[in-house]
Amino acid sequence: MRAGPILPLVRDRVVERSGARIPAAWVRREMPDAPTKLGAWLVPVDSPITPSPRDAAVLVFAASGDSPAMRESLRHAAAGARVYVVVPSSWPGAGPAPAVLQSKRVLIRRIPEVLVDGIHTAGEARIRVGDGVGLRLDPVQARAMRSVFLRLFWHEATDEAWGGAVTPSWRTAAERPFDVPDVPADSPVQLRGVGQPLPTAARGSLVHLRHGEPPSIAPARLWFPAGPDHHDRLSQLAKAGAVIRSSDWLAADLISNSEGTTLLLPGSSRRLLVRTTSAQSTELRQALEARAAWSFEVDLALSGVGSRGAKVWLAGAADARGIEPRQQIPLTELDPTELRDVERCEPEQWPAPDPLALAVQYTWTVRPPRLPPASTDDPLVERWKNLESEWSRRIEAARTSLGELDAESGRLERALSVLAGSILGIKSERQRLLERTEKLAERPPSRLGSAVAAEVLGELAKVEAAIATLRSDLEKTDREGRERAERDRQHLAWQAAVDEAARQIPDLVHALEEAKADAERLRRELEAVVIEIKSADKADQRDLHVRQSRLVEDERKKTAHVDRLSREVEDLERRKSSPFEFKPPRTPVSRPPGDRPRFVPAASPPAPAAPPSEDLPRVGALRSHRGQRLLSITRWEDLEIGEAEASRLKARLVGPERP
Amino acid sequence: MRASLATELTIQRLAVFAEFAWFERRPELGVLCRAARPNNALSVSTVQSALPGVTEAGARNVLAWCEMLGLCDSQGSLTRLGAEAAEDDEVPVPEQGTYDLWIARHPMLGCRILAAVRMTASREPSLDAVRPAVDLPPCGEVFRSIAEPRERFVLRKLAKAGGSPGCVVGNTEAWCRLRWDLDFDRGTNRWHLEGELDAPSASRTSALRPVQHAPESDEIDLRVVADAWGLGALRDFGRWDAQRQRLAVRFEGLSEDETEKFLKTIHLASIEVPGRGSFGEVVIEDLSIGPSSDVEAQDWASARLRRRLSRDAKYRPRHVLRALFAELTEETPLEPFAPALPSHTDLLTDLERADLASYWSLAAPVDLSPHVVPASDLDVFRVGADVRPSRPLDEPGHVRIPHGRSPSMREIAQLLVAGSEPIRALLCDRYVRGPENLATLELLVSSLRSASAISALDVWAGDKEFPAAEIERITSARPRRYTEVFQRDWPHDRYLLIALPGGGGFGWQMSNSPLHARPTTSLPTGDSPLRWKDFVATKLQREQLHPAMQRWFIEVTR
Repeated sequence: MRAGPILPLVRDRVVERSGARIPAAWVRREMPDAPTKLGAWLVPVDSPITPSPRDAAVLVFAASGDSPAMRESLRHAAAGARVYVVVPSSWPGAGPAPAVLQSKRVLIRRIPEVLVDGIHTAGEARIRVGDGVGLRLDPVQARAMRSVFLRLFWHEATDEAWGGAVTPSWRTAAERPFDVPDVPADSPVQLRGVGQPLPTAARGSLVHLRHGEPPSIAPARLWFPAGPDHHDRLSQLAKAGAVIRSSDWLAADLISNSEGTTLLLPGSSRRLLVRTTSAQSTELRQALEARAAWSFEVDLALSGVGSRGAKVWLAGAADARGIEPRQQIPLTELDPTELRDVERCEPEQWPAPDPLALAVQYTWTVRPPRLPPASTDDPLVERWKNLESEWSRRIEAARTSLGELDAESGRLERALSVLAGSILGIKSERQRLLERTEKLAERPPSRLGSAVAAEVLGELAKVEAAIATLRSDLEKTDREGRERAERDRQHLAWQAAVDEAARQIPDLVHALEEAKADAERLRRELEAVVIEIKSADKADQRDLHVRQSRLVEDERKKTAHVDRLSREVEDLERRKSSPFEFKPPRTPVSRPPGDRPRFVPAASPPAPAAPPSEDLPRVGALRSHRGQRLLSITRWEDLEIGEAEASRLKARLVGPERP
Repeated sequence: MRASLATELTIQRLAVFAEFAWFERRPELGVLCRAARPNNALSVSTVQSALPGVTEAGARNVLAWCEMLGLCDSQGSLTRLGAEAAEDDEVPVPEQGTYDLWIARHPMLGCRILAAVRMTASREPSLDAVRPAVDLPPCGEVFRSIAEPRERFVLRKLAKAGGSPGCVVGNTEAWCRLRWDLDFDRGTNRWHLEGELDAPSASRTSALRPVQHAPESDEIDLRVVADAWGLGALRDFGRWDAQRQRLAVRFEGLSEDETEKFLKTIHLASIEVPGRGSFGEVVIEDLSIGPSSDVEAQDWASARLRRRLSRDAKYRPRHVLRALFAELTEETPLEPFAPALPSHTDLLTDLERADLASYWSLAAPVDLSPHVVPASDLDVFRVGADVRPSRPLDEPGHVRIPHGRSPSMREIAQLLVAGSEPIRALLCDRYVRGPENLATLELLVSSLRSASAISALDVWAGDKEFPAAEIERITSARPRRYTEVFQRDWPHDRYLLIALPGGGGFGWQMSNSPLHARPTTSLPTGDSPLRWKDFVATKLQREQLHPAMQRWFIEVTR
């Protein structure tokens, strides 16, 4: 049983292949790859030619910047010959001006493509046919080569320059002064379009090809570029008896059959065809017969190829390679669906090994199923969390209520000593409830399972009800104490009012009597004036009328004063004789915050939360992802319990989330 | 040759008391003069016929007046004035008074009154200033004012004081210059006066007005003048060749333009014209010049050749170079000296030092010629030499017509047919156009027909100025344009293709067009000698020809 954290697991498998075989391949063994001996016609391409006499014309095909013919031509130019050169359009490219442009005896014309590197002098003509190898031309071939040169020089030049200037400048090639006739079809040197038919190989012939496809008929000997292509055709030819080799030194295609030997130099738009003489053909055959490093072999034993330094070029391969002792093949990572399958999971298919590998080692990584990054807690976990939260809230609320009861009872005890007995009973009950609450707080439901959780929840409900009853009792005691104190206050106020009325009544009665007397006196004086007016003359009547008016006003005021004093005396008498009457204080109507309007029926109180029907897992974390329940464990030690719990909870067992 | 001469004239201003006649329009006298035309004379009857109702005495009186006016002489014959009056009704009306005259004297114009103005009484000179007048203009001669060209007048008679005419010399700042242009090639000359005269109303000379003189010509033998100058004033510039009217000069010092045009412009401070006096500001233009010696001619020819080579550095085969040299020297003042084109080797040796572009333009076509260039072509080539090449026209595979040979078209056609019996022929030539080429084409067609059984000659020609109908009329075959047959790959050379029975045939690649041959007679035939430029035809196999030409062989043998 594996232990430790759950992580990806790296595994491997080794297969031995020393007995395997290769159907067909190019094989290169280290040996010289150039003709070891040249002759009278095949010569070193840079061997000097006797300098041409002064004013003789030397014709040069310069296919590249490092053309041996170009270098040779400089010697002739120095001797006074006139050198005419055709170069490709890209010549000379970047860099310093070539030395040939320093000579006043050189005229250069650029043409789209120079098919060969060669030189034609009055005494000798030569073309380059391979790496470091030139082919001397006989006089007939040389004349034909001159005709080809003239055709290219006069008909195809795009621009031209001559040497000798400080800074040679190219100008558009001037118009040709005449037409150069096409080279006759029987010419030993001629231009051939790439689409024109070429000599075909025949059985028993000698073929050297630089490009294209292998011949359909098996020649006696075939030189073909070693590479990844045409292995099927080459295999057929090899099985038909053709000896197939590859050599890089000859830059031209060659077909040698009973009609003669033909060289075809490479070109993109046209090719230069050279029909060789028998002597030239013999030397070419001899050079080609020389041992080549590459050979095409069929049904090759892998263990037999392992010679030192051997390279094998397989069909379709990018390049040739040596034998590989052990091939490492990393495979793709595997993702088993079950956590338990991690240790025994293997690829369904094994990739084919490198044909050149003596052994192969496959390696792969098994990735345990993991919790997806976007998973969330399972709803069961949420329900348990909610229950736990509600439990905590209720425990805390009970604690708070009990604390408030303690403070309130203390206050009442200090304010209303008459209530001391009742309060003492309340305090003792509160202490009991607090102890029950603390015991419940030590037993959260999520740890107890759904059955026990229901019991403790019921116990908590009882404690909450007892707290509510105790609070009601304390409020009743408080209300009774307050009413008693209000009655005492009201009685003291009533007694003080009676006493004050008895003290004021005698003084008011005396004042009333004096006022009544004054009123009577004024009434009489008024009557006297009225009479006096009637008997008085006009002059006195005026004064009497004034006096009459003043007395009327004084009598009205005095009468009002008498009425006010009479009412005050009556009021004091009534207050003095009134009995004591207790007016209970108005109990303030308090509405709990958030109370709904009266016309909205109150909702029934929420039912107490019931514990979920399923227990939480014993190990790991219960998560949910896209509707699927996942049980994530982090260590292999939890695998057994995790599988049981996952089965119970109908969940898929997975490893932890990827870090 | 043209010459421009000028000389300053001295103007004299004189006041004279004289009888003057001013030309006025008098239609009635014009009628009389016209009536006198039939007999060229005025008579009583003529006057009476022209003026009906006039008595004989009146007619005689009229005749006397006409004589007095100078319209006729005492015999009634019309004078020059009378003939002019018959044309323009203008007659000189005499008057007498004091006149202000501007007078110039020169051999070209004699003593001439340039302008005359009547003097008012307030402006008449004092009698104390009157001096004897000498060398005055002739009386009776008609002068036209160069101040007012519409005015003509005649000095009829000068008043004499003490037996001789008198005059008062006046002050003047008037000036006049005589400018004379002579065209020796056309044999014409014109002269005119330019300058300013005093304003007629000006008492002082500060106010001047330009003169207006209609050009006149002088009766003078210009060849005599040229010879006089060539032997005189031009002696310092060269040797005068009176026969060719050309100045033989040294090549050194000539400008490029002078060597190319064989003309020279000379400026001289003064020159003497026989019988016409001395002139200044002399400019002799387009004076024909030529070399003074063989050496000078050779240098001159070489310079022209090098200049042409340098200016147009195109590749030139030797025969083209020979033709160019002939073009630059033949029918020029160089030809009599027989200048020579150096040999190919010598010419390249010279050019290599001086002009690499020209060097390669001549070297490459010879070095890289598809056909062998005969050594004789590379040798010295002399123009104008009376040396005719003696070698045969045909060599194996070649037909050559060297410079100087004048074979007939029939002779050449026989060589080109080469003893075969062709069924059809094709001429490829860019320039089958122009009356001279078409005339030579007719000669070629007739010569080919006479040399073989060919009934028609196909012609492929350049697109420019393609006279299809004319060619078809000559060749009896519809010609085709180069664009039609060659598209853009036009051949450079001319070709004559000979199709033989059985699908065989051959072609001639020709360095020049046979149509460039020109007849030496007015009505040439196939046997007439022709002037040829260097012509080389090289025989080619069919497969060496342009693909379009190879297709022609197939088409004509179907």
